[in-house]
Amino acid sequence: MARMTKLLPFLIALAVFGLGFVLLDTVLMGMQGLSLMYDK
Amino acid sequence: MTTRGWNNMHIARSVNPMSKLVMFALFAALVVLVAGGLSEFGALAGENGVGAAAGDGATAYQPAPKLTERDYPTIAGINSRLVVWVFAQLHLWFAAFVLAVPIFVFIIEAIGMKTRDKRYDDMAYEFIKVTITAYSLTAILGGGLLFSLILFYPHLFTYLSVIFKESMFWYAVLFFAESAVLYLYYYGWHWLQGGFRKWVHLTLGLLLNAVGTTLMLLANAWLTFMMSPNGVDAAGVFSGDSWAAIHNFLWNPINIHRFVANIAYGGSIVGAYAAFKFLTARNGQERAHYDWMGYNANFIAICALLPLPFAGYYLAAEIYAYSQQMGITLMGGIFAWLFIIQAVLIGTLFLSANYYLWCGMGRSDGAKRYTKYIKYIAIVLVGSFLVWFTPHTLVLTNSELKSLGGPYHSVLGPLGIMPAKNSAVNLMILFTYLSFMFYRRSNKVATVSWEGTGNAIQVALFTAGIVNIMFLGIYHGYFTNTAYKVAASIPQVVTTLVVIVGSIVLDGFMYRGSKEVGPLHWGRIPERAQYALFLLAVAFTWLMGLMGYIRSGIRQHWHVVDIMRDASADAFTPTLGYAANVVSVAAIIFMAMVIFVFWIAQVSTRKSLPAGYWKE
Repeated sequence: MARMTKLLPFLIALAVFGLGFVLLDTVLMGMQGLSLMYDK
Repeated sequence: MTTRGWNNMHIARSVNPMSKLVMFALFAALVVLVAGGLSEFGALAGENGVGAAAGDGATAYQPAPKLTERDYPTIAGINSRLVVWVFAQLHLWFAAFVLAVPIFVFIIEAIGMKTRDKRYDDMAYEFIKVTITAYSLTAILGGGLLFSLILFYPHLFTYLSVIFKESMFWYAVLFFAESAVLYLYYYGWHWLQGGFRKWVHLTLGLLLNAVGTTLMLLANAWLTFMMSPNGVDAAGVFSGDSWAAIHNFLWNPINIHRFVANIAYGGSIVGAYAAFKFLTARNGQERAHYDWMGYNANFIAICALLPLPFAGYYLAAEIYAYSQQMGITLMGGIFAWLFIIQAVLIGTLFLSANYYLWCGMGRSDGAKRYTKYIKYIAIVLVGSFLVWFTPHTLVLTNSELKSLGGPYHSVLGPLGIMPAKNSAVNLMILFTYLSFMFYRRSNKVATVSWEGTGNAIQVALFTAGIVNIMFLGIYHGYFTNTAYKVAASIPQVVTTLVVIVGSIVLDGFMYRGSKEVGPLHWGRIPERAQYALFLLAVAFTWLMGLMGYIRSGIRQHWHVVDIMRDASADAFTPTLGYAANVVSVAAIIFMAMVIFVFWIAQVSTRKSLPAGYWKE
């Protein structure tokens, strides 16, 4: 339990950054995908 | 000021006038040639139907000349391409150095003004002192390049100088301005000290950089026009204005790449200077000073090195976008193997820069808290390095081909494509930053209550970033449409930047009000670390030479791509071995000249007082 408590800040931060990067990838890849469709 | 400092100034003044004279003579010749309306070339231009003919105030340009082998003068059996190649390369190396150093000299001087720490001012002065001799050599080599172009490639020179007559004129004018400002900046350093005078001096530094950068932008336009001509029709008839010729497709990508690369290169050369001075230092005080100087130079080189792969990638992408043929020749054709050498050299740069940082951690007594992590950074760097230089298609003998079943290795082959390289280089950049973060932390102890949580957030940020980079590289590189292979490189870069910026901000908060472990022991660094600085300078030099050859070589048999064909006896792509030898010999000549520059700077500190020579 004590170990989990120690790990908690890391796990929360990992989840936040993970979600952030997923969002970043979606936006950037999506924009380029749209650009490719638009070019066609 | 110390006696030695005054001696430096005195002797530096007595060394430079000769080279200044040569330099001004060469550029006076350029001004006469260009500002004189190129009248000397008028006959040649008319003969080839190249020149501009004035009619009713409007300028009409002629098509690019169609040349034969007889149009290229041969002088004393000299290989024209070789002469121009070596002069251009040597000029570029020195120019990169002398354009970059004033950029960070300006920044260091400003830091000195802000902090009122005179050490910064002294260091900035010492950097610019090394540049002065190098500046003369740059001008002499530029003159050599100009004359060899006029002598060996008169028709090409005429064609380009008619189109670029205005920019060449302004180049010559700006060169005079650059010389004037540089000498004011250097010789006025100790005169313009304190209060308003210091601001005047700093303004001179800004002006020096503005003029120097404009010079580079103009020269870049001439070479990028040869790769991606603008404002011309299929026959090479120019119908635009000066701006159209300058603002061609590859101008800005080259500008960005060269600007960043020059800073990294300048940092590495002055780093080598500091290493040289460190190794020849006669006492602990000198060693400490040059260790500090070497650290700052390496810091500058690393700061510019980190974004450099992205600038290079952008340039390569733009070359592809302009001409797929040039792009494929660049990385998929004959030059592809030079990119493997490039990868080895870039890996060398990252390894030597990191090695220097690790050695430098020994300056702090608190570094042992972080040394245990260095081996993991080294493993990631070496692993990424191996991926970075794994070729896509192997060069094999027939029997090797048979036993392998083709030139493509089933396991290592997939590492040969760009998504793997992009992932590797992003990891190398992140872990180089990590080395730097450990270096910065090594002499500090955080005092904030949330240090443990802060470290956990740092680890999470790096973990999430690395996983994202690997996901983008593997998933989009191997499991989606080809178009996404290139597209995925953008979120990879952004991820790297987010991690670095996020980590810097977080560390800034964590170490606000931190305590120092103890005073930093400048000079407490092994001598082998100095050789890492030499390696950095040599690897940069060689890398620039080889990649510069590729950039120029992808024009293949064209002087100006698709417009003006090269009809000389050298209108072929030489073997890679030959090209590498030329660049290597040029690099050795350059290094010999750099050692001369360092030696001159060293000589200026010596003083002989022959007894009884001068009458009392």
